[in-house]
Amino acid sequence: MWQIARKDLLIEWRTGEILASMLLLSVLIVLVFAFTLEPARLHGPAFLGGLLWATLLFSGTVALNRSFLLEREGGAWTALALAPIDRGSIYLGKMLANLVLLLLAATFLLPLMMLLLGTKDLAPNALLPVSLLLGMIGFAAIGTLFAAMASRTRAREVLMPLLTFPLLAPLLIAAARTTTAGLLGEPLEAVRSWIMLLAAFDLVFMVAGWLFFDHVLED
Amino acid sequence: MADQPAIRAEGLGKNFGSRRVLHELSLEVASGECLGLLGGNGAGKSTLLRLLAGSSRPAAGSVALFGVDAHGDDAGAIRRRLGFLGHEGMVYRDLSPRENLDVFARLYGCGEIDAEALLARVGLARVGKRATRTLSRGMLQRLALARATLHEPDLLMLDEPFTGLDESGTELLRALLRAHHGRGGTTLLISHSLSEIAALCTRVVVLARGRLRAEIQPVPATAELRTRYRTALLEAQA
Repeated sequence: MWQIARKDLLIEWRTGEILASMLLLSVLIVLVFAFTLEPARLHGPAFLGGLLWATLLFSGTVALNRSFLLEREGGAWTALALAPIDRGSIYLGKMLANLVLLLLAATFLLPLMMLLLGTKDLAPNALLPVSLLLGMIGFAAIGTLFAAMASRTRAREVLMPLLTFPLLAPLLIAAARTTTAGLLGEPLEAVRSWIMLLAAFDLVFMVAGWLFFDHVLED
Repeated sequence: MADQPAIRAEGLGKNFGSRRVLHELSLEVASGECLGLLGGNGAGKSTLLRLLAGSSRPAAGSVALFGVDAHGDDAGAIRRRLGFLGHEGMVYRDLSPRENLDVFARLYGCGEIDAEALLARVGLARVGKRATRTLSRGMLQRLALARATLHEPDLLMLDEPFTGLDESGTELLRALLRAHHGRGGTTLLISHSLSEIAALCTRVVVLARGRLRAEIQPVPATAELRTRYRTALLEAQA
């Protein structure tokens, strides 16, 4: 798992393709929000969680789609399928690399959104990183599995959102709610059930990806 | 397990959509054997190789490598004994050749390897730090060869390995395959070069329209092999 993640991050370090495309798209979306929504009417951070996750959904989908292109190019996918390792660990390695890239994007994006959309009434607490991490794990878990499946088709750019968006809906709702709570400085008790939902979601889809990746990897 | 055949395929079938590309194909390759697989374009050779290696799942039948189901729960361990070279280089274009070998050595549990020596063995010592994307077709093939053999596999499956290689590369591959056989290794070789098949293989099978049509053993000289190959193809068309 670590070797796969290390390899993906090394390639990203060399090319910067995924992170650059994610950040560019994110900045574009945030700018659109900033110019069309008047910060004064946004009531501070109440909207910020939703906007952050909407932005991450679109830019993250582009990133996840690309993460398997580097396996398809030059037939490296077959080399991975034939490596004497647990194929589930390939999934976990790819997921981990995608998670790191998503977290990097979020780390860049959140301050940018605060800057452009206002910081009034912000009182971030420890719930913020927890909600971001749990949300990102779920997004990476689903996204990695379905990006692998979609990468086998010619219509992967269309198929990936079609497959993932319906599944991601409950995760995004829970993540946006808990992120907003984290930004407003609400106590954990206020969003405990949402946090539990995120954790359960993460666990279910990580296990599903680990189990099914064997079949995804074989033609 | 020692006396198990390197490859045993029984009743293999494969469909692409509604099209059947392999029909109830059975094949056995003994340990230490070098089997040549001949067939025209679209005969199903590459598909068969992927099924045998375990990167593609058959619609029917079974494959065992050294007595272990190639698609079963224990397949991971048996893949350690397999070296596979396909049409593509199966390497990462954005990494250097040295980094590619390092990545695959770790995946194959080889630990620290002497990547420089491996690259020198295939004539790539000077380009070890260049981006793989910038390598020529022949250099990429040499790198693919180094990747496929870095863990010293017992079984080599090679799909058109001579493609893109210059004279010295071809000689290098011949020497590598002979050394592999010297160690008791097994090879399944797909090639359109009858002279290479004649020089290297101990047995030849002919695949046409998804079925094994002929077996040639012992392998004759190139001219005789060509005649018998053509006869097998004509019989398949009849």
